[in-house]
Amino acid sequence: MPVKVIRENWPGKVNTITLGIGSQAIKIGGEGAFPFLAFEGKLPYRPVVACEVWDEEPGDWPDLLTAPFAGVIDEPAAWAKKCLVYGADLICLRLVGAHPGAKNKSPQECARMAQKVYAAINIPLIVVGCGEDEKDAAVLPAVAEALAGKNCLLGWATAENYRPITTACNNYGHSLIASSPLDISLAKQLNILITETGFNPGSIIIDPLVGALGYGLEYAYSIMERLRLSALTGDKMLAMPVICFVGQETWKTKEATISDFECPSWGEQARRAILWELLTAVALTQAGGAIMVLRHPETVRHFLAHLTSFI
Amino acid sequence: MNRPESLLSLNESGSLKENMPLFKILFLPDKKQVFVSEKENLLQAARVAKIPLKASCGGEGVCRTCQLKVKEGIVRIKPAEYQPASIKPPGKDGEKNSEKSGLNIAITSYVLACQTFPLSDLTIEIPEAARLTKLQIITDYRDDYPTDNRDDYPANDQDKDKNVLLTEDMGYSALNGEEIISDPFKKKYYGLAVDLGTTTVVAELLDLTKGVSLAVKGTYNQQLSYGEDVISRLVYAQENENGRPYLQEAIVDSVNALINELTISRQVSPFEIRAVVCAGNPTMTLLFLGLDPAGLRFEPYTAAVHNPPTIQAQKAGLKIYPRATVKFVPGIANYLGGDVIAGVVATGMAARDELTLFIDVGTNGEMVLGNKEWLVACSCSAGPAFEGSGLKHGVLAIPGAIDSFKITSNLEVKYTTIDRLPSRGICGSGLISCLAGLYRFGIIDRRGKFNLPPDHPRLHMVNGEKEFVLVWATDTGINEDITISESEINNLIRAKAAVFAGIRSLLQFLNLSLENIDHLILAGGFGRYLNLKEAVAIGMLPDLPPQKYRYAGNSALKGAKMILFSAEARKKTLEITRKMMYLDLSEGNTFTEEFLAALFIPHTNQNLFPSLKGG
Repeated sequence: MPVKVIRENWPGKVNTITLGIGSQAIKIGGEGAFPFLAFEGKLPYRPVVACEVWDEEPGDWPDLLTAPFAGVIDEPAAWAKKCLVYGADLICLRLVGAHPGAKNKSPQECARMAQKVYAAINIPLIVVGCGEDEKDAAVLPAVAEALAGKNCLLGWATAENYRPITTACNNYGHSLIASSPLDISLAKQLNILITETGFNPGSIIIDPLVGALGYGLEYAYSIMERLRLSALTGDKMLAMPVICFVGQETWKTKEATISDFECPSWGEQARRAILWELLTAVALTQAGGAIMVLRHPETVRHFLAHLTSFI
Repeated sequence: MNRPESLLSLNESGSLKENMPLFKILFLPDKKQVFVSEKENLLQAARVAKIPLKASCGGEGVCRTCQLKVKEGIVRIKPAEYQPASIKPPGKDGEKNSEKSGLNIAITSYVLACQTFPLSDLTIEIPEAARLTKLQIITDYRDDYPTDNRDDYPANDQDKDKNVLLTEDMGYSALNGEEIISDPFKKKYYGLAVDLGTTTVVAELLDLTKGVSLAVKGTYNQQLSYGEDVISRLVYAQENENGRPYLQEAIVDSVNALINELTISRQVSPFEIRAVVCAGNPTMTLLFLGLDPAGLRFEPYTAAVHNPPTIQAQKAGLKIYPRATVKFVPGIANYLGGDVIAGVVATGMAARDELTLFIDVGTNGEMVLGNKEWLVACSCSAGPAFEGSGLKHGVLAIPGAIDSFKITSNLEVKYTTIDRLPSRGICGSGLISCLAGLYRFGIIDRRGKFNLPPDHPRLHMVNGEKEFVLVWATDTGINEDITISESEINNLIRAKAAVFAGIRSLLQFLNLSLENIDHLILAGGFGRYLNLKEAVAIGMLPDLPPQKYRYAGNSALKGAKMILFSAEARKKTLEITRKMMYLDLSEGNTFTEEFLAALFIPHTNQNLFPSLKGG
């Protein structure tokens, strides 16, 4: 007796967003079903990997994480190029140095840095600020102007600082990362606020602030699942693709940062830390993440292999 | 349970023991004189003198509402961060306080009553501003409920033959047939229905033999001088020696004052009042009885009693027939008391086929959903914002309180005040109106953040926070700008979100949606002065056709009256408390999620407010 496959028919789908220009442009989103359930709807584009590049040499990364970038870690453009070798689909430049508690770099300095990195790579660029709302509101408009017309993805726009960032992205033709803390209502509220300034909802990407394995991953998973469900059931204000800052979350866990020597019973750090980042990324991809921002090249390699085996 | 002796005698005995001298305090213009020790502050002295003063903070020295003028004598001012710099003598009265804070000052000057202690005999002048002024008190209630099923609650005059408790031949009270009247020849039996509110107390004098109402009077709850909201009273009861007896005395006095007024106005002897029914929230009920309310605030979060036993008037301290019965409408949960149950009785919702949602908004938003088959209730903490508490220019519904705003498209602000007096602050309905107006003209965004150029003339930065000037100082009765700040707006949004989230959680628990509600009844003073359109526009109340809404007025009073009059209503009341299920919103995630979704104007899910779309 043939088994009848039961299919859900969804009225809505996730927005499709193009990042970058010309032949190097990347498309994400567009899903008409839950992740990996291709028999229920179209899943036109595979999840993509962005590698993190910092404008300043990271002080608190473990050796395991800095080793693959030896020689280029104090030179963002070279670092970005190295990431391409490791298989990155996009580069995510993080302007740590802009933070008032760090080097407090000026918006112009940050904009020049972004331009330089963009010139070195020939693939779509994500630029995120320092995470301090007020400073990002000053830095990102300058970055947006410097990268005018390059169709980059800028973040983070939060409920506190979305106005200037939204205006700049609108004026210079960029997409926007809307970041809100792990709640579907807050995410939707921010999307409504941004859209009401006249910004195209089709150029918004949601950052739901995920957690790493053991640090709220299951919570992030369920929020992302609900985001996808809302998109599929036709909620236009939640139909945005999702970006997950996996590396950022993983590499602050003790499981990823403690060395073999400090905790021998946990096994080899090189294996443990990369598995931690990989498992987080794989789980969040299952939940519907479109862009995984990763840090370790080994994680990137395994993750891409995993995607190939599935799709 | 015994009530304390009067405050005066407490003071005297306490003072005598410690051999402390007593100072004579003369209050002007009242010409009232009391004796207190140096350990009692002027706020306490005024209480002894039975002069109710404002003290919204409960005597913490924070709210600055209890400013008095020392005309003669030496006082000690408690060293505190709030004085004396913050005490501004209005006008050119007297020399300035010597800045040696905490020292003895013998000058003509304004002081905070709660922070000032006598060191000699004193003459004190009480300015009008420090007195508890009259409030808008809801003494009436509506009888025209939708499809009111009068047969179920035949408490109306025409039904008196069937239902009046005390008919000529009997010595049985309305109260569960308990025998209360020892003199079968006495012909006049009166009853008293009382609404024990946190802010106001209302009493109705009833003729039990004829089944008619004689008079209604309302007054503020004298507990107001111990704090404005339920929580500050609970704190006062716990953290002050004799706090509980003081609070008990304050509310009992409030009722006695009404009894006095009512009986004089109708030339009735108080000793002919044979039965009392009180409807109050759990805190008020416990404090009235002098019971420890600690269980409301602390684990195990259980009130000492939900359904207090009937007691005699002399035990309750009421100055009526000593053996008159005093009954309390039972509550069902810590935050769902007899006032709500009485309201449910009054509206007759438990007798109808249609689905009714009953809402009483105060510090807590209490709501009951149901019909004749079932009743589910919940209580959500809206915070005291709608009662004006916690806002710099928030006030209770006093004369001069702004009760509505009209903001025009060029950002001009027009408003109306209670009794058309110069504005003194904003009361609950004014705050809702304000929020709706600010949003409508884009002064704030959907999250309540100001959306104006930083140099806008009405936008001020005060202590690093944006404030919007609603009324310029020159137009007010308080000589300072009436403003609203971003954090205050946030408080209001949280309050309205709590109410709406409560409604949604209740519906979700029953798998119902807003459209299923046939009637929505708003009880209490809040409902009365509320502009429905504005309350819907900010997303506080559901977007239902206006004809589904009803204002109940003082439904607690009406319920108490019905319970006093009608054996049938008493039976129904018990049935209601047994039938009603209490939904604890602190369990599970539903309320939190609904609350976050409602922290938006009008709501994150705009489909819930179809009439506002495109507007």
